[in-house]
Parts: sequence; C-alpha cells; structure tokens
Amino acid sequence: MTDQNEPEMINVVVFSLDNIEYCCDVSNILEFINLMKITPIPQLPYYVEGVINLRGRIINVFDLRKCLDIKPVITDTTKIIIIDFKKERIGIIVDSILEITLVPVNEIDDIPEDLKARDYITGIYKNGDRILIFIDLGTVLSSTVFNNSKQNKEKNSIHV
Amino acid sequence: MNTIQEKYKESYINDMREYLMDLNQLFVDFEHESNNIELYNTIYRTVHSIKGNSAILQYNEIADLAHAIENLLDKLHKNDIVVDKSIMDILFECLDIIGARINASEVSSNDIDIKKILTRLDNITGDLPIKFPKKDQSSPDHDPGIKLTSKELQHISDLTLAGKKAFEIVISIDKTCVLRPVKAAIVIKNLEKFGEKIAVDPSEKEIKQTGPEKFCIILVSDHDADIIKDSILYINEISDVEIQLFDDEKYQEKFNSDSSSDPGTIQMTGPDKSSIETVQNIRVGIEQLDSLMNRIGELVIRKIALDYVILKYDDMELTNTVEQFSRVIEELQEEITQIRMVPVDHLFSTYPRMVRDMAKNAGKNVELVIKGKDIELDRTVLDGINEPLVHLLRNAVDHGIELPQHRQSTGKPDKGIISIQARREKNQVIITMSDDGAGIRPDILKKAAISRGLISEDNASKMNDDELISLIFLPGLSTAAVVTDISGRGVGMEIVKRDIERLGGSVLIKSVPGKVTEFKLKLPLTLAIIKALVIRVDSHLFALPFNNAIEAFYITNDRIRMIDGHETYILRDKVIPLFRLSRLLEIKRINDPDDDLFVIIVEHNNRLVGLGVDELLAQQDIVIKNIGASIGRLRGFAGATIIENGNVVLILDVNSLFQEGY
Repeated sequence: MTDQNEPEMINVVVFSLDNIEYCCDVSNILEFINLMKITPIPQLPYYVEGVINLRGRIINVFDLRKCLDIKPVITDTTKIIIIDFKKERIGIIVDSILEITLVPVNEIDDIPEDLKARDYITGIYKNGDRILIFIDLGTVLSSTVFNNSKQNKEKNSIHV
Repeated sequence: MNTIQEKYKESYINDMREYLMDLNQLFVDFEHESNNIELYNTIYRTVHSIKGNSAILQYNEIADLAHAIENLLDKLHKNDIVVDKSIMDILFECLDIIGARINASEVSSNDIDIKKILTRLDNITGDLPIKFPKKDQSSPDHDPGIKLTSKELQHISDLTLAGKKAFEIVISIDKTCVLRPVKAAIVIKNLEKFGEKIAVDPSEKEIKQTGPEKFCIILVSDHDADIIKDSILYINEISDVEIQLFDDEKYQEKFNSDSSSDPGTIQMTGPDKSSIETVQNIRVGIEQLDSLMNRIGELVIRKIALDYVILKYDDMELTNTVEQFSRVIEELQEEITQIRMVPVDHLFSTYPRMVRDMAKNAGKNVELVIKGKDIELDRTVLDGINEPLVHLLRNAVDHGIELPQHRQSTGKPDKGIISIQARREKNQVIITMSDDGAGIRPDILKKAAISRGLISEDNASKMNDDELISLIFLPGLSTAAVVTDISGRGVGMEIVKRDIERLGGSVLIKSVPGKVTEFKLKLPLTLAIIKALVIRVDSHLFALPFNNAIEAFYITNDRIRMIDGHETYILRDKVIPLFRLSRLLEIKRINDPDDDLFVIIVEHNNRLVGLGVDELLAQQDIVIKNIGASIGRLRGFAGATIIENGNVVLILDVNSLFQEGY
C-alpha cells in the first residue's frame, strides 16, 4: 500500500511534437539516441523512415510526425526513441526530448469523451498551464500500419 | 532415486532420438534385405542400446517394448517368423510409439499405446509378457590387464611425481545385472569425479558393446583408495571392487614385452583412439553456435571498418599488424562456417521411412534412392529445405507415381522410383528430386491457368512447354485431380518456391509427360556471411549477393538497343533485356543519371537479365542481417548489412525484385 502522504508517482519521458508536449511511461522506452544516418528503403510507405545501425543491430525507424499526419521537420534537437514493438526493437523519430519527470498517478485524467477517436492517447496530466498528453507509441504504429494497409487494399480493389 | 533420471535425461533423449533415426533407416533397408546378417546385427545392437539406456534410467515401459522388439527380431533371425510388410509395419509402429514417448515433455507418461503394442508383439512372437531378460551374454571372464602406451606411462609418472596417487581399480559387476554397459559407464563417470582417468580395459567402446562383468581402470587421484572404493560400492549391482596402487614397473615390463616397436622410442602415432574418442566430440547447443556466428559476424564488420580506417595512416607497421589480425578473423570465419555445415544425410535419412508410409497410404509401390548424402550444407539452409522437400516428396508419391496396375498397363515396372540427389557446384549445392511417374502435362496447366485468369490466352500461346510447366509455381494453381489426405493441404508449389527463394536459392522444374518430373533446387552453401557486390544507384548503395551475379561490365549509352520500347543489350549475340535498378525500385532520382552505366548480368527464372546501375563500388564479404517485420513484407530485398563506415546497406534479392518487373 502506498503511503497516504506520498501519492504514487510514475516516471515519464516528455517529448515534443509540433510544439505539443507528449509523454509516456519510462518503462516502455529502451533508450533515446541522437538522429543518425538513416538508410531509406525504397517503395515503402511514407511514414517508414528507413533503417539504422544501432550498435550492430538493424533497426526500423518510423517518423512519429508522419504517423500522426503532422508535417515533418528535422531540427538539431531531433531524437530517436527506441521501443519494443511486437517483440521487435524499433525507433521512432520525435522533435525533441524535453525531460524525464515524475507525475502523480492519481492526477492523470482520462481524455474527454469527445476525443476518444484516437485510441493511442491514453491520458492527460495538467499542471497549471502545462498539459502533458500520454501517448502509446506502439498503438500509434499499429493503427498507422493498419490504416495504411486498408488504404492500399482499397486502392488495389479499385484497380481490379 | 530419480536424480539419475534428471541428470541424464537430456543426453538420454538425444541418444534415443539418434537410435530411432538410425532404426527408421535400418528397418527400411531390412525390409528389402532381411537376410543381411550384418544389418540384422546392427539393428539388434541398436534396439539393445535402447533397452539398456531406458532400463538404467527406469523408463521401464520403453525398456519392455525394446525387449519385446528384441524377441521378435530373434524369431525373425531364426526364421520362425517371416519378414513381411505387416511385421515391418508393427516394427515401425514401435519406433513411432517410442518416439512419441521420448518427445512427450514427460518421458514416462501414460502407457496405453505401449501396452497395446506389447500385446500385439507378444501375439506374434507367442511369448509371455516379459519380466526382465534371463538372457546372459556371459562374456569370457578374462582377467583385465591394461596395456598402456609409453605416453600414458609418462603421464602417470608425471602426475605421481606431482604428489598424486595412481590406482589400478578392477570392478566386478553383478552377474545378474542386465545392463552392464550402462552400469559400467556410470562407474566410470563416477570415478572421473575423483581424478583423471588414464586408461580403461577393455576399451570404453568395447564395454559399451559387450558389457563385461569385470573391467579395469587406471585412475590418478588426490583421494584415498578407501574413499574411491566406497563410492563405487555405493552404486548398486557392483559385486566387487579391487583397488591397489598402480605398479609402475609391472606395467613398464608389460609395455615393453607387448610393444612390437622399439621399446625405447616413444610412440608418435598418437594416443589410443578408443580412450580419446569420448573427448573428441562435444555436443554444442545450436543457439550457442548461432550466437557465436553472430559474434564473428560483428568481428568481420569491425575488420572491414578497420581495413578502411588504416588507409588514412601510411604506416607499414600498423598495416602489417592489421593484416595479420584480418587473416586470423578470416580463418575464424571459415572455421565457424565449416562447423555449421551439416551433411544432407541428417535430413535425407528420415525420408525413406516417410516415403514408405506415404506410399503405403496411397497404395503405391515406391522406392526412394538417395545419392550424395555426404554433401554438406549450412544448418540454417538445411533446416529451411526440409519442408519444401517433404512437400515435393508427397507430391511425387501422391500425384507423380502411378498406382501399380496403372504402371503395368503403361509398360512400366510396378515399383516407382523417386530419387533425391545432392551435389556441390562451386558455391552452390544442387538438389535434384525426380520421379518416374506420370509427369506433368503442359496442356492441362495451360488450361487451368487460363481458366483461373492467371495468364491470358494470348500469352499462353507464346509459351513453350517448359514455361508452361513452370506455371505450376503460380499461386492458386493446383492440378491434382485427386486431393489426398497428405498433399493438397493447401500448401501449393508456390510455397515451395517461396521457401527456397527465401534461402537465396531457386527452383526449376522439368517434366516429360508419362515419364518423369524433375525438380532442381539450387541452394547457397551458407547464409550468414556471403560475398557481395556493392553497387550505387543515385544516392543509394545496395549489396548484390555474388551467387546472383554472373558477370558485370561497363557500357556506354549508345550500346543500348531499343526493342519494342524495351531497353536491351546484345551480349555475345544474345539479346538480353535490360532493367534499370532505379526503375525497378521506383527510386526518385536526385541527380540525373550518367550517360553510361554498369550492367550486372543476373539469372532469373533460368533466363539472363541485365541490371543497370550507376556504379560498381566494391566486392566484399557481408554479414546478412534481418530487417524487422514491423515494416511489412519487402519486395526486392533479402535483408541488410553494415558496411565499413557503419552505414546500413540493403541487400538485393533478385528473385523478388523481378516478381512484378516482368
């Protein structure tokens, strides 16, 4: 049981995307690295950035901006977040990593009903003016892949 | 009690699998030549080993079953019972039951199957259900006396000078002990805990085979005689242990008188083979070998990087050192590649039994002929070809070979022949599988492909017979008139082709209707580290595996001939279609292409095709790494590799590259 005086806290990584602050549980993130040379793979969907060499391992990299339909930009602060996705290690490009901070669990609110359409947003934390949006990176990716393949299918079926 | 079971379970299971694999093959042979006494002896010995190992670890049902098989074999040997198909069927069934038991997570699970088959065996042999055998291979009670080589004697005296004690231990095993070989092995294993085993008489190999009542071992140890003696007597069914200090002189004499060679000289022929045999092979887990291979792969990448870095420094000493270092890594790479090689027999030896069962179910008479068993392939490749080969075998039995009466009516012998042959050709292994069955009729394939809309009538009319037969690899084309329970499980020929191509290989088919169907599988020797050509297209680099490329050269733009809107190149009077890699891969060019280009001739579907690229950069060893599944199926790429500057380069896959390009 947690002490009444000390509310249960979780460690979150805060990163920005188009000047909006997102965060996710530290335990879901393996590491973050500086942007490095990415080898593009021809003929793949736009949101697949390519592959990188992470200490001898080949890792697929996706651009979170493209997954969320935000115009991509590369800046000095651009970082790659490495996560586990369906037993595979993958990289996700974000604008910048802002901080790692503690958030009291009982102050994380559900998203307002009206926004429920996006299932990868799992919660919201407000602290004064600041708003942190909890995002599930794996879900973002799954739904992007899913939507893309659905579109492809539709496209193909028109051809036939 | 079950601590022994726990301890030896793994090696027991491994041994049993090997025995079963051997027996499956041996029984198939035995069915054809039941008079071959040597074959019979080998079978009997193997069954006996199963019995022995099982009983010592108290897997009694398996031991009982093995014993019942022995009884049956006895009767077969004495011609009390004639070897026929039904007898062989029950023997094979026994193997399956033992195999199922071994593969079950708990070796001693329910034994209904075993009880059933035991009753059937007993009905045949007319025996009463067995207790344990009274059979006694009373071996001549010869007094063990060890012959030591001068090397061994020297070793003993070295060790005794170092303060250790050498013992001569004579162990007698109870006459009633059924499994003396195993018992002896346990004793020897136990003794090894106390020190170094110098020699055993009779040799360990002989002990394993004959299981003498008495044997002798020379042991060098730090422990006292009493402790050693007690530990052996603690093992049950040991009737006596004599232990005495090793008498150097007595042996010296013996050695001298026994040795035919000049007594003073040291034998350079090496240590006694039988005593060292156990040490020369070590079982290593496959995962461990894979991880070792990966490490060496990393090392090769680092080496390539290092070769590149030293170019910046003009230093002889550095260059030489790195060169030597590189050579060692290359040797290491060769050796590990060699270790991973496994003879195809590992796979092929399971096929005769399989084909026998398939043929039986299909009511056909089939003989499987295997050639080139010793050809070696990388374990990963070998694993990868099993399913495709089994599928081809099923097809051959089910759809290829005709029913006996049908064969007779067409003037063929009753028995159909399926042959599998492996052979090495440069950096490839070729496996051909053919059957002398009905063959494939191109006209039927043509009709089926057209009716399913897979090709247009127009295209079909342009195709020759070979091309028509190759249509069998198209998805969704199955010509089998009858779908039996083995084949036709939805896995078609396209899966066979895809599996083989995934390994970097290719499949070709030829057929003469009414006579023969032949599949030719070309496979790479190894998968992990391969030679490749690094090429450039615009700003992209790619690696093309050497075994895909036939030749490469530079041409000027004016040598390209346009035929019906297609670029072609005339190579030694042959028109070769030319494909720009940039177009195949839909690469958006940043820079305008040069006027000139490099052409790499590759083979695809048995035809030559030219691949146009901007530049050939280098040929080098590359380590193949997989690309994660999160980006879906890739067309045109087999994986990725890391080059000297640490960048990732994609590896081209010629087969899938042209899939939609045609």
